[in-house]
Amino acid sequence: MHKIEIKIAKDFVTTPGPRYKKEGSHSGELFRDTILYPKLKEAINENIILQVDLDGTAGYGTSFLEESFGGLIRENNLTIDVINKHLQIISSEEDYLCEDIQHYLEDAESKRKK
Amino acid sequence: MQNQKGKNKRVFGICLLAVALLGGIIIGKLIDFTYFKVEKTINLIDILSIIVTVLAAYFVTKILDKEKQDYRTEKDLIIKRTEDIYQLLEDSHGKVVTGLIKYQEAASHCKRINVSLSCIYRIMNNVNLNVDIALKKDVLDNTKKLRDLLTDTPKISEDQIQSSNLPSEVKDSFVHLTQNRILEIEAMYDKLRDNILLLQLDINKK
Repeated sequence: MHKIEIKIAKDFVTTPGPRYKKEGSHSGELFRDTILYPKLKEAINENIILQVDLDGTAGYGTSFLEESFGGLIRENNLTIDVINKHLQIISSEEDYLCEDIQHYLEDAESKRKK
Repeated sequence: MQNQKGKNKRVFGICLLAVALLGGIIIGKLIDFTYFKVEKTINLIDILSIIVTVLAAYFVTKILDKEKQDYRTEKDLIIKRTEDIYQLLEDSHGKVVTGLIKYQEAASHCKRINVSLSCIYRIMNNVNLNVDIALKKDVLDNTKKLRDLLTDTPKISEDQIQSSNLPSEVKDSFVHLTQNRILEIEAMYDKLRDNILLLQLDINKK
């Protein structure tokens, strides 16, 4: 299966910011709106994988990651099944972040269903 | 200089051996041991046995001592690395309580703590230094809790932001925390300091 790749440090910024655009620069909301969601939509339409590489940044705040990935369900109305089918997160520097992101997705999905 | 010292040591050793040998011969010739008999011949097997025992003692002591010394050095180096985490905690703690920390900086501090911890755990595995698994997990869990306390702002609308007393919010990229949240963060810093100290003690005991 072909894949599209995003490396946040290269394609977005090396110092990811807070949750919302109004809170400061390079927010999770901005990343989701301008890069993550458009690329994921492309991957879904072409039935391929979107690989997101988290390495190389100064560090991620919880809000940035939650808004970026949880927001795909909350704001962009995607389901966790579709996301898990087309999205692959990789990180060798902070491997626990992949697990955290999965947890944010599950949390957002469970709140959407309520 | 070092070479000369080694040479002197060897000469001294040879002299000592010669003196001991001569002393033994003289004592054997001159002194009459009333209750003991001094043999004029030496069994070859006994000599071989003595030589093998001396060589074995020398090599075992030398090798075991070196291994012990290497292990001690490895433990000291790992403990030194955990002290760096202590320093990272101190640095970020100072900034958090003054309310002058940028969101990106807080996230960066958390990453550095996590990456340093992962590095230490990897090195400990490489040198077969097995510390308490529950303690290792506790340190990682508390680091994650600290990251959440510092960088997890609520998911709420603009209206809610205006009307609520939020535990933490970000304005112009700076993290603003309520007094309660600061207390929670301070408690987490204390827990992490304790965790690191316990980790150091556990490493030292191994």
